[in-house]
Amino acid sequence: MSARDELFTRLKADRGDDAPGDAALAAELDRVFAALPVPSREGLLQRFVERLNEAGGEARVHESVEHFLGWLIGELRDSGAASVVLASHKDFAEMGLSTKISATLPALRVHELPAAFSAEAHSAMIAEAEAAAMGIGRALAGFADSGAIAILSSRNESRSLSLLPETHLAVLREADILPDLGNFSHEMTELLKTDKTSAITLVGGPSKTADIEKVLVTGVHGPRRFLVAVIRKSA
Amino acid sequence: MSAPVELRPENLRALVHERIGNATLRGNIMRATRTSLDKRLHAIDDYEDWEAMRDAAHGIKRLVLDNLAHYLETFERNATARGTRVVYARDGAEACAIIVDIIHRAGGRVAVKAKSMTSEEIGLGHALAREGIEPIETDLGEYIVQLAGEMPSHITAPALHKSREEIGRLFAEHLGIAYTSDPETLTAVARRVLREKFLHADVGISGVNAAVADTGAIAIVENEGNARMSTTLPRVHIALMGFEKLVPDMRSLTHIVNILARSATGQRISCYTNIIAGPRKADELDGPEELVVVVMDNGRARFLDDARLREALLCIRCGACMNTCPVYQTVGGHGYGSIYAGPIGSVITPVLQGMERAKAMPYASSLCGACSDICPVKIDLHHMLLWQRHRAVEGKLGHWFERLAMRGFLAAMRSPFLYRFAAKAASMFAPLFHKGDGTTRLPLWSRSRDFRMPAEPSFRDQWKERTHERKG
Ligand code: SF4
Repeated sequence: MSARDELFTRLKADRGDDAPGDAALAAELDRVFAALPVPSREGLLQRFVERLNEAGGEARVHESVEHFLGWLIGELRDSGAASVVLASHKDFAEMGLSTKISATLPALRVHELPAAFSAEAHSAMIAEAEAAAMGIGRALAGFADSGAIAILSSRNESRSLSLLPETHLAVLREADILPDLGNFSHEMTELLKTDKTSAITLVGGPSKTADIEKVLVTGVHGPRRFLVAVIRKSA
Repeated sequence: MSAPVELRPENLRALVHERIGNATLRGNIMRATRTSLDKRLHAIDDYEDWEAMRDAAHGIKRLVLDNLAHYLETFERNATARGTRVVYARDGAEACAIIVDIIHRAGGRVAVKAKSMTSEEIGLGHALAREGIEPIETDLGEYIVQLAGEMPSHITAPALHKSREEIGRLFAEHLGIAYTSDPETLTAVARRVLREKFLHADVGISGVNAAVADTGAIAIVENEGNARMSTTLPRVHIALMGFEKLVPDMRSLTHIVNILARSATGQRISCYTNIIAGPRKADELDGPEELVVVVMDNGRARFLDDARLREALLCIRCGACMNTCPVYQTVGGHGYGSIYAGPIGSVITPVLQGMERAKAMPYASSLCGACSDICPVKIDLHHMLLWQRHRAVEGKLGHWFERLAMRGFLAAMRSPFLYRFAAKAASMFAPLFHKGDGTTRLPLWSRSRDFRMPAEPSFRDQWKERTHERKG
């Protein structure tokens, strides 16, 4: 018997003949969750900002897209960044992100992501992300109870963009802040079941360690800084 | 200096002695466990009703435990549909062989490893090295431990037992840098060295915190980003899990994520929760070309046979029971000699490695119950420890007197009447064994412990009187 069959035989014997069906199990699970209190919808933005900052991230709230762009350009200028990697989302193009950065900071190289995967494009993309001071991507959702965000691997946003550069900046719409991670589970299920992505990453702070005598150090492997630019609803 | 005692559960007694004498180590452990516990209290304060969170976590994992075949089959089906290869291993040796084979087929020479207790459990690093594959531990703590040729001492802080000076010397010796004991500089050095490895490794190996049945996704939780690196950059990603890591759906996963970091380090969420369903899709820009999930038994099914130990399979490896355990706080992870330390380690090691080897472990506990109170999935750890003591002596391993006493103690713990009776009997008969210095001459179990004379009147009686007074 194969290892698989052996294990399944053992596990099936454990349950015996009265194994409940899908519906019964789903109902049982619903009962478990029904006992939990509904997370509060109060003060979502404020809680998100507080908790992200507490976790070592940096939240920046902007009243308008213009305000956000002005802040970003200042941030890049002040840090003396030589290059950034930019996700190729449609709304980034609509904001004029790439054109405005290039117009104001002509010396800064803005790397756009390749249009499709190929071995050469992949190597070039990794090398660019390695060298970049900042990777700018999108947050699909933010969670008020932890200050974390969800990011998605897609044709418009590489995984390495938010992993290899010194700083990861995620742009989040205020309307996408949810009370709790649980509020996002349905959307995650859909994304995965419809094969929209192979990787959803929840990011709760900058890469960090306390492995040497519990002294906290950021940027152990991934980004040293984790920034979330929240654009207000009115914008 | 004499050679250090080998880290095996058989050596528990000697290991404990070694550690109790080490003041630096004890200071480190005490500070680390305290910090985690304090931060945990702050983080669980987010919930008006933390008990409800624990109950739900227990409910989710219990449902899985009672329907393992169903959820494993569902996971396998959905993972396979997303392009993940799911393979099975009866034990550690088989899992190692499977992983070696995958790496060889992929033409791999270097494997970057993210932290995984399961891979420690089966000695995967050594198995790879034997087959000519260079295994690189990439979690900073694990990397330090690997350079030193040691074993991790804590689930979430593997190098807790090392001082910054020791680490500085280690780095100077192995990495050819000038000596420094500055954690920030040392971390930066490790970042540089390991980044090179990530970029050139053929294979990434990780553990699994949860495998989600209804989507076939796996979740890997971490703070450093080394698991992200290991599952993003190499061409092949191999994930190793025990079959008990299943959860039914994404909603369950989010619940586990919500309680895991809060219980483990007192963070609200870990820095990275990697939710991975299959290899890179055709239109995605990066990610592995191949994802293999190795589902392992390695003795876990044995828990199903013992109704009293079954729920040990609910464990999500948060480490909270260790942090809160007075024994762990004193001797640290290495004191137990097993890769799984603390209360949960003492419960599962005798089953995974055999009682003969680990019979001392269930005794490394004061049975105070702090572990059961803190466990986010509500495992009744201290009763399990008691049961393991019972098994240790029933297996003709202990003295006849102990066997008898332990059986009586178990019965007494379960019945208030018997407990009261036994306590009375103890105060009546104890003077017979009294040595006159507050301890007894009972054989074995109490020889190495100061068996205190029973209080007179008993705590129960005092309590009754007090509550009476207050009421009256
Ligand atoms: S037994 Fe409970 S407290 Fe201990 S590591 Fe497992 S889940 Fe955490």
